[in-house]
Amino acid sequence: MIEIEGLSKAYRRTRALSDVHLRVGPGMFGLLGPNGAGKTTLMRILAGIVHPTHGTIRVAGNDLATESGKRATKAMLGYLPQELGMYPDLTAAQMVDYMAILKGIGDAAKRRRRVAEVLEMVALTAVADRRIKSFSGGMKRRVGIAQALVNDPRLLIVDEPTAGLDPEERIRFRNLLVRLAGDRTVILSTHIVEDIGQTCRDLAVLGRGSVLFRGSPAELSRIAEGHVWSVTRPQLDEPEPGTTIVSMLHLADAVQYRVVGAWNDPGAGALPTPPSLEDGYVRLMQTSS
Amino acid sequence: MRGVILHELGMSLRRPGLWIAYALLFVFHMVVLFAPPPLGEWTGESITPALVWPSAGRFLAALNVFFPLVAGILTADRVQRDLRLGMRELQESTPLSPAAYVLTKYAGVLLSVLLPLLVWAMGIAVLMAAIGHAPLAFVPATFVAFLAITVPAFAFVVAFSIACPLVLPLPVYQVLFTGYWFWANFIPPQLFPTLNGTLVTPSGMFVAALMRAPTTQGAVTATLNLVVLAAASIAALAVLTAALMRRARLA
Amino acid sequence: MIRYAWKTSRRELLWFPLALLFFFVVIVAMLPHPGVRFTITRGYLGFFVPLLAGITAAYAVLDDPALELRFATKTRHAQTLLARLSLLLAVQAACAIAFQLFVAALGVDLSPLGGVLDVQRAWLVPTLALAAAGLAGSLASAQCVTGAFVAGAVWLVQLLMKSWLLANGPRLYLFMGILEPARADLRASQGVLLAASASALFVAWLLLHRQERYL
Repeated sequence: MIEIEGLSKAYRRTRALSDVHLRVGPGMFGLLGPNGAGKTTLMRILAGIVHPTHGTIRVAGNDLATESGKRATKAMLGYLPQELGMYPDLTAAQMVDYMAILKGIGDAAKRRRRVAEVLEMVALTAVADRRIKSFSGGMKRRVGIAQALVNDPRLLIVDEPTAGLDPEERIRFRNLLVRLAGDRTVILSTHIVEDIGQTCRDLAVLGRGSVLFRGSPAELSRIAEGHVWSVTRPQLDEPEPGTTIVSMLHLADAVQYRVVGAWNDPGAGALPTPPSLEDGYVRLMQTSS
Repeated sequence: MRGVILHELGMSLRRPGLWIAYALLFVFHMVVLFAPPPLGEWTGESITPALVWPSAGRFLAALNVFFPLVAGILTADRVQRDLRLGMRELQESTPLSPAAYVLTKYAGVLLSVLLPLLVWAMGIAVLMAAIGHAPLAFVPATFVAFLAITVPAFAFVVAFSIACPLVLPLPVYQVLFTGYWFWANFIPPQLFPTLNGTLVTPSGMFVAALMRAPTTQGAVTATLNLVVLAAASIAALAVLTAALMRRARLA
Repeated sequence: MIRYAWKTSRRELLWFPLALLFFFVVIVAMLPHPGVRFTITRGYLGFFVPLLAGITAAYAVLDDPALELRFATKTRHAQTLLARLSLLLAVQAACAIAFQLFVAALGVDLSPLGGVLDVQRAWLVPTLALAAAGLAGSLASAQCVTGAFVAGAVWLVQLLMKSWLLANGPRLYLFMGILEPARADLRASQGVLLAASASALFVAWLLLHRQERYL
């Protein structure tokens, strides 16, 4: 579905993407990385909004370097940007209808049907005729996903979709995305590891504009094998350089720590622990820096 | 407060729009000043020592024809921007009072539109002196004229430009300001009712007239003009402060 | 689509031109002298309608909360420009025509400006020119306020430096149709201005391709 070869993007003083090679097929694909890793830049390039400096990118055979390729890709694209801007005076239904028009759904009856369907998918039917300015953050995000789905896209790009959502909203969102994947390609770009772990079988990790890892969540977790400890102590001095305390839990008279990294002398009572996806991510960041 | 003013100044100066606007006007001004007629006004006649002050006054009054447009249009979004970006909420959670916020915003923004023009005006004055077109005294006279003619005009314009968009949409204010600038400064009173020629005129005409022909009456009029402009500016800033306080109370 | 072009535009696109129209209607109604009425009509049509168009055009494309979403659709840039500008110009045109009908009903004679078509050209040409300047200015600088400044500055320079412009570039004088309707080169001037407007709009269209500048 998506073939990226040697993709680079440089701004005046920063290199947002550097020689990225990726192939993405149908299904859920996760894109992880810290802030500033280049995830949003990559998403915007895929959405045809930003021009790459070098490299080629093809979506379902369409070359994004050409105008026709870009338009063909946009016709099959659903895009939910990180910073979602909408018209506050439009109702939810109007906003989705408007985006449907921009995406080329000219037939009014078909559009009406489709708008009703996608609003139903995101559980906004009851408030379809309310103005967006009265919506909570989670509801606005759902309008955002509705507009992304209205043209039944083959490629769905969602950039940090769960930012600012409460846990229930996040779960609902994740489940919706997984239901939508299948024949579609859904690219979920986020720095929330749990979202990737719960939804994606395939992922890549970006760091400083480059692909640091490509594989499954299980493979990413395995990177931290042998490098995760659980320690309970009254107080833990700073671990060695190259290790990270990923969690701290206050107990009655001690603190339970989870430490990831190349810890040469974890000391007595430090229990080696099976790594989670987050541990793998942390270990990857440690080894790549 | 000094730190906040410097930040406001820095933010305003970093706007490409400010420099684009000034660059366009500087080029235009350069052509008008140094090109021979009919393109410009350059006659080659030097400024004599007796004409230093009248020439300085005329020079800065001429800058007041177009350059305040930069202040009026480009500074109009400075407070509105903070509201739009949600910055106001953060600012309200700090010890910075609304009055201090308004003063620091005003000072920083005012300096940002005055400094490039000061550099330009002084640069022209130095150039004139260097090529022998004006005596050296023209340089300090230009500086004094800048303080007396340009600064009050800009202070007046910026005060209203940061205050009015709180109650008016930005494009509406910019249209009204542009129309006002023409109406209040350049329509002859004989032709149409206007503020031109009254004590509320910010064009600097009274100070320029005083520099041309110093008289007691002229000095009184010029002083009153400056006082009225200052009072109007303070009133605009006070209303802005009150509006921000009310907004915070009602939020 | 027209309905949404309306709903997704700034509110003041409608109420401000109407408010200005109302203001001038009241002024003209209050001042009975025919000469004064003619001057005010000329001022409204020839100066204020174009200024309003120029400054609001600066906000027409970039002042859009859903700009990134729009860029991610297959909507052509020309469509975006056309939709935004057409609405703006339609509102100005409606106000200009409504005002002319009103003053005609009061018996104001606009024949010094020429025939009916000459009067329409007199306000339409500067309106298009300033709208194009404002729009191109905002896209070139990626800032609406700069576009507004460009439109305002062009307007003020044109208004205040009539003699200079007529001496140095008469065919670029926006207000010839309103202030100098008897000039022999009026048609040529309007042709040049229309060509300049078209060029500015073409530049705006080209600039819109560089979408990432506006995000």
